Amino acid sequence: MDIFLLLLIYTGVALFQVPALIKKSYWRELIAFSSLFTLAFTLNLLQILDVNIPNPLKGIQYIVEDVLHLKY
Amino acid sequence: MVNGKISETQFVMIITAFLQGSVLALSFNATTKHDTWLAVLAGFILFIPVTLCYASLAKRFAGLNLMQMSEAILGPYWGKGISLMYSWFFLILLALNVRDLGNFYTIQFMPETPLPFFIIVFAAVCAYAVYIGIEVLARLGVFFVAIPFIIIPFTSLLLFKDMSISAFLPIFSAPLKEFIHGTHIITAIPLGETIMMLMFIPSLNSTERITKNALLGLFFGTICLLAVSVRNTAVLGYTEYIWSSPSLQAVRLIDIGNVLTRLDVLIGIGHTFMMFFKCSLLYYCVVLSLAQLLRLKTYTPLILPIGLIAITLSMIMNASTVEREATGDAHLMQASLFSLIFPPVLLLIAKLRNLPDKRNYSEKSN
Repeated sequence: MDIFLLLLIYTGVALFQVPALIKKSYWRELIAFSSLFTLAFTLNLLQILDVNIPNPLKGIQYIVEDVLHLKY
Repeated sequence: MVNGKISETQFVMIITAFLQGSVLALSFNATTKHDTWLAVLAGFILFIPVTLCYASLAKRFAGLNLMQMSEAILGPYWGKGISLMYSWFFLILLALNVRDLGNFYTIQFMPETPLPFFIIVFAAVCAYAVYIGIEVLARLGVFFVAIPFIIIPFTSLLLFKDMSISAFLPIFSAPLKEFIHGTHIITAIPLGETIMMLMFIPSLNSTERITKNALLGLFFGTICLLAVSVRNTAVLGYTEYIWSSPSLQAVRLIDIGNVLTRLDVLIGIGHTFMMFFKCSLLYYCVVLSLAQLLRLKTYTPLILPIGLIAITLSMIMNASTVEREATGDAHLMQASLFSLIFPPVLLLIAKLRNLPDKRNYSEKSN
């Protein structure tokens, strides 16, 4: 059910955005849109499937605290 | 790509309203406790040179925004790298702020409603605001700025009988290390986020008086920050730092003859408006910086995908309050890097390389 809703939303966004870009022949914009769109879809899908996505702030925390040893 | 003109007054209002976005409901007092107002003052004074540095960058490279500046200063490769990092930073800020608003609603007002609901609805409104453009946002800023300037004096007046000066005593009781930590938080997080003003430079009518305007915006924003911290400390005293939102708690104490009660809804409304403004600006920064990095003709195709990514990021970053506390220092260091360290370094390199080369520059702009 969740996946169905997700697909519905993403199809809606794609139908809203892509034809306008093709009509204006904005190919560069289309490529940028598609790659970010795919990234967003992957992230959302993983989240709905309860896959544990690593927190980016944890990575920054590792660099700041364990590599650079900056800590109050 | 960037259309729309922002007048000087609107520029001041943008900075003030952006700062007010961090003010109304949030707490900066976990470390400095009742000395927060001193930390705010110290942070403001420390931040003045940084603002001067932003303004000097903006003056030197009039008509360029942060991304174009870093490319002009560091060359195409390093400049692009820095730009990409700034896009990432704005994206993180957007996700964190959207999450803050969601948390605010689920913790304080509607605990039964799922968090994603608030985040998605809020992000959709911000997406629309970014879609209609910066000029409209700038005009809205003038109205939004007034909201805290009405709410803060009004609530302070009604709370006057509950305030006690002794809550501030003893002054300077926080250990020096914690005081420095608190000042650092205030300098880097609410004040340092004004780095986003460098993204609007091309939309400004004139950059002649930008130093004065930026300082004025910073000043008004800090006044709100100071007023809120003084009010909260005076009313709540030592209990201030145990609440997740001290402002809300302080205003809840208002009770004028059983008629004027539950005024915390004012803080809720104000916070929603100001967060909307702040998140829209950050959203605009992310979208514009990515569009410029990829050399797109227009930024509108990126709005929806970036919004969807930000929603997901806001859900996975800081899944719990504990995690948020644990990564707080990491975010502080990251924010200091982007707002306090990079701009002075950029300015220094620009000075050393004698940029912008007046001759090349005028050729380019012709």
